[in-house]
Amino acid sequence: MSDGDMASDRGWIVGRDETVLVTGSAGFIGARVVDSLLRRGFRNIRCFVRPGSGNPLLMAVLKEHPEHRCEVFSGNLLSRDDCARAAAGVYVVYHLVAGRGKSFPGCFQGSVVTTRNLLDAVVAGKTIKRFVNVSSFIIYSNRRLAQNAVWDESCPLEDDLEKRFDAYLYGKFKQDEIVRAYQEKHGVPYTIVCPGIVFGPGRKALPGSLGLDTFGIFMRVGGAGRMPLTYVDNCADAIVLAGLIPGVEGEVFNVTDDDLPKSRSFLRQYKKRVGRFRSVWLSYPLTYGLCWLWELYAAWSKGQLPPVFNRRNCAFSWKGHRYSNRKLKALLGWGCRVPMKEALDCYFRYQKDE
Amino acid sequence: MNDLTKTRIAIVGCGNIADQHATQIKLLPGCEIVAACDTDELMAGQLADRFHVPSVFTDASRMLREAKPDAVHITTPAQSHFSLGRMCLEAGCHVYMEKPFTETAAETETLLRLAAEKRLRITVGHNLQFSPEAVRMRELVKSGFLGGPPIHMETVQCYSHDEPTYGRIVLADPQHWVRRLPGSLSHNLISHGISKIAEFLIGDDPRIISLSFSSPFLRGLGLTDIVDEVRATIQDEQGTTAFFLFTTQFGTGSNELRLFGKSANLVLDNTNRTVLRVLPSNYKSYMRYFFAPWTDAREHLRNSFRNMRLFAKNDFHMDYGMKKLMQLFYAAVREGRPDPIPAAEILRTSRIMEKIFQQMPAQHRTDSRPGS
Repeated sequence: MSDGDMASDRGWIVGRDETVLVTGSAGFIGARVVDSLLRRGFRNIRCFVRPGSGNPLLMAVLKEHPEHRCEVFSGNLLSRDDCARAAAGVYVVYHLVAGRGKSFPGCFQGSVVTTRNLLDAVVAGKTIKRFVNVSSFIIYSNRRLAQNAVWDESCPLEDDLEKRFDAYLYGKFKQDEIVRAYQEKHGVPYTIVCPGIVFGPGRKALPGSLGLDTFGIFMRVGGAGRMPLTYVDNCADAIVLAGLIPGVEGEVFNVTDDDLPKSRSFLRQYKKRVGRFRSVWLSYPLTYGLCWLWELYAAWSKGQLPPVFNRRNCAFSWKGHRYSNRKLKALLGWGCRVPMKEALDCYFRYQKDE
Repeated sequence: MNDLTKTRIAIVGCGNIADQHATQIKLLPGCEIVAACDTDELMAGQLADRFHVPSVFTDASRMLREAKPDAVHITTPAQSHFSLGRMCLEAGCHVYMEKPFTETAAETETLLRLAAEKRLRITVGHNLQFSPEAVRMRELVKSGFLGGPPIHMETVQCYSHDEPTYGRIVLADPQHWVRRLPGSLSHNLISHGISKIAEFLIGDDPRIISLSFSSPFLRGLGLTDIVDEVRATIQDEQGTTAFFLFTTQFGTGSNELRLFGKSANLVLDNTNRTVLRVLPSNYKSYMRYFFAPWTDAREHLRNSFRNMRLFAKNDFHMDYGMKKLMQLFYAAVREGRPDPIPAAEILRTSRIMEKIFQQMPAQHRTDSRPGS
């Protein structure tokens, strides 16, 4: 899609002069969301950033658009005052902030408490037309989905957060719940966007769906399934459109690109173009069995090893599926601005340079 | 209270550390969590949700009235420790306080006195003192391995600003409660290192000469309000000396305590969970250089096998120190056994910390107490 196409107004729910708020705008995806909005001609973007960092990714974006009138708003979403000031006069909120790490309260606070504060602020502000909640693929459970089956928005949500034992999932799951609750209670119109694995320049780690590097040597798991990749610019476009297109309130959109590679071929290309490293291959059934044993040991030992490796997480990461972006294309008119081949080129080049 | 009655426990403050408390309480026989309390209902709710706690409160005094706990774990920011601790003791509850115990030594003294008056138990979350290696070191000291009490101690405590759930958040938030403590960032962290020394000191008024400053890393960021480097020399009434070092500049992340005695030394390494015994070498001349390292290697091997054996016996949990401290605390509560950390040691730790903070340059000292 050219910049010219992106600038065309297709009957969006907000005008280009109306104020939009992007939380987490200094982050890997957030900075590209700001870029995508600027490319679409939005002028009044309030970029919420945490104090104390130089925000290099966001600053690089703003430098590329010298005509911008973005307001870099430094604050803390745990502060209700900061939320109220940030949400004042805002029509669309792109909420990308998330709690990360291994701590459940930390993830909950970073994802849910911040979202509650922001939702309270937009309810009080009374100008909100769309609250775009950026969630994650992680909220789904593919336990009952057959290998190689299509994973789309109809995939069931995780039904046992305790057994899955993932702090990030817990935060994101509860975040989505609170967004839905505010729609029911206060009528806040929302869309939920669930990106797959977002990759691109700026993110150094190898995608988790390739395998594990916990035990000193990289272990590639499975390999027959596609990787749910989305290039950061394509993902940012999807997020932006979820806040602009009319008639999609209450919808959930999964975001994956076209022409997804299999993990086997991704790793082969990575080694060839970035650098060789030793890896061993584990079949999915073997990994699943080992995760089951780990789970049993964690329960028996009362947490001497925490149940971080469990069957649910194993299935989520390595079972192998195909992924659909049909809803995204049909309802939002989204398309891959950066084709997979070009996206992988950029990513591998960045990894090599780093 | 008899053994058949379950000890009813409440947790006040449902942030990161509260999870570790709840996990360990759930494993304690004869104990149950009856209430989760946090000023933010969502935070209290998430803890209750995951640990199946029956009631949620946003007000501690209401929680004490309605849930009627026997003991309260206070895991809130340190600024509220004193007022909450006093409230709980006055309500007749035993108190397990997260570190740092209070903001000032006077507050520590008041709480300890109140607990004694009310015949209630109170302890502080210095769980590193109850890790497997610390327990073993204590046994060795008690058995006379050093040839008497330690003559000198050295402790190194490292910390990384890069830690995502805490370190980075403190740096990014100028209003973070840790930055408003009298001793700044160091106030929330050094009690672990100080308490390890305090255990072996005598008296409650040791001499302290200390130097505190901001690391070059923080100075580069312009965050000179944060103190992340402390060096302190301590001497007790008997002349036992100690050197305490807290730093963010070592890449190795060491957490060590070295005890020097008349006949031997001990090296406690909390990072690798080892205790090395250092004895005078019997080798002569060049043999010392060739073979004494073998003695060290044997010590390391012993530690490695001991750790593996404990793991195989399912007695080597990551939070072993907290687990052990809680077991001892509730043994004191339920069976009248001695306090796991004597009141005098808690007070000594507070006094040492206060003296270190008093010697901080004025621009680093803050006072977050109401009315100041």
